[in-house]
Amino acid sequence: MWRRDTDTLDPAVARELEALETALAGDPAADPSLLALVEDVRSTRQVMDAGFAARLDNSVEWGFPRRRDDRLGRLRDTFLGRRVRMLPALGVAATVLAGITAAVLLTGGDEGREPVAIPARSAQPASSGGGGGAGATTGGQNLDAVPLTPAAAPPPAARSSAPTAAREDSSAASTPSFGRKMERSAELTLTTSPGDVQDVSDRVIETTQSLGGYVQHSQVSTSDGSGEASFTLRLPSARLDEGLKRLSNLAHVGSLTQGSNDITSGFVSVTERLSDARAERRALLRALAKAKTSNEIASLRARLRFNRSQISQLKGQLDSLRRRANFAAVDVTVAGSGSRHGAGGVWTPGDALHDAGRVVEVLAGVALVAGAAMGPALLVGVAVLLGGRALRRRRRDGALDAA
Amino acid sequence: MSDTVALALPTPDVASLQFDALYRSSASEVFAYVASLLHDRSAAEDVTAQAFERAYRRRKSFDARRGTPRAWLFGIARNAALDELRRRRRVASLVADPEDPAAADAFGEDDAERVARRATVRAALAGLDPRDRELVALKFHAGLSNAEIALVLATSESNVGTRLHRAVQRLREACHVAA
Repeated sequence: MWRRDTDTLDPAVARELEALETALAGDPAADPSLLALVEDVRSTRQVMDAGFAARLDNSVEWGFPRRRDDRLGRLRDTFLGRRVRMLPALGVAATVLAGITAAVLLTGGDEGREPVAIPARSAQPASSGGGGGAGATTGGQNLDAVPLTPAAAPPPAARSSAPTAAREDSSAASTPSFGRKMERSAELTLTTSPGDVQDVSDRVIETTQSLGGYVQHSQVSTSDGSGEASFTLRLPSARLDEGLKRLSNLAHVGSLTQGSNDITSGFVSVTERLSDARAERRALLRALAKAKTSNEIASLRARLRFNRSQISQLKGQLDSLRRRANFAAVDVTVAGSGSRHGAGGVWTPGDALHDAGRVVEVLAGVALVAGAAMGPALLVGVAVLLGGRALRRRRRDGALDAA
Repeated sequence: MSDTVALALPTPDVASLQFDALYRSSASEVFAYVASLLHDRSAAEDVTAQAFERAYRRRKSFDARRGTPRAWLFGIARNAALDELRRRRRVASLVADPEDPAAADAFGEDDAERVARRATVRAALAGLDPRDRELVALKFHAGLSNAEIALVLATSESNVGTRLHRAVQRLREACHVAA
């Protein structure tokens, strides 16, 4: 609605208009000619007849009910009425939808708050001596809800022939048995804010030591905007589950992969070879005691030297296998990916504030993109709407001019 | 007990109550204004009813910050009347405007001077520009203030004042010449 509000009335015109207002008000002091004019003009006024007035009164009293054939009008009434009533529900639905969208957009990035599907993989190929390796993977979940014991899936042959053996394999995977030697491993990714990487790293080391394990390798790098630490831990296999639980409580768990490998056959093989070597040593020593010639003695001593080195080598292999069975290898990565989730994976008010900010950021981004895409269409629509209104107004004025 | 009864009663619709008051105070003025635009009693009745129905259905969208209820109502009535003019494509002349029997009854048969003056004014009105005639109707028949007329016609108040002054001058001149 365009108006020239800056126009001002001529003082003489203003005075005469005041006089007209006085006459219209019926003031006896008004200009008699104006009073007469007002009376004469008003006498030309059309008056409603009583029948029409009664019908209109009736319509007003009943709220202008729609005719039966006015389906469009009835539909409009229904829709408008429901629209107003449904506004709060629509608002809640829109908010929930926006929240879900924002959550999906947020977790689709680098934070991995929602469970991230990581393809399960075997930790290592199954050893040649039977048994099997198995892997269990999870991501972004509370470990209390995740079975930490990897399901040691037996090979198809073992599964089909002896279900009992499969159960034994499974129990062997959870706790090292005296009969079978299982090598266990795990990879754990923790995410935290860059500023908390050092603190979480310190607590990883403390936890490892308190479990009776040791840190085989560590690397921590922090800077202003980012930080990352990686560890190769050796935890007692018997306490691996407990260790993973405690480690996962230090920060948000981005991913967790577990694996197990049956090394029983290798262990048995080395043990037998060591036993053989020791028996050979005993036989060589007995032969040496009985040897009489210098050549015979020299030959036996040479064979004893070789036997000693063989025994030493086999002992080393056996110790290595025992270490692999007794200490699980755990690769821990602490990623300072910008997530502000506090230590222990607890969602704090600060996290909530940060997430809310991120939601607003994402929504603003979405709005910006949508605006950029829909802006031109919206402008055209507004122009058409305004043009239509102006055209309709001109046509109406034209109808008046023609009257 | 009375409190219980009071709570059980439906809450009055404020918008409906205000509309009812607006209808009671403006119905005859709206009809007079629409009739002056259409020059057809039957069409004026239809359009008046249509205008009130539109206003009733939109009563909750009325915004007091944008003007008075009367200005809002006359804006609706004006649009309805002009739409009717456009629809019918009929050009009516004020000269052809039928006598209002109700108004005629207001005069005695012997009051010839008044009847003559009235005819003179009707002729003078017919000689006005349609826009000025509408302005006179809004001012004299509907009793709107200049500010309300400005809202109805989507123009400025000073423009309304200037045009109204000019229209009244022409009316007075026409009546004087006729006399």
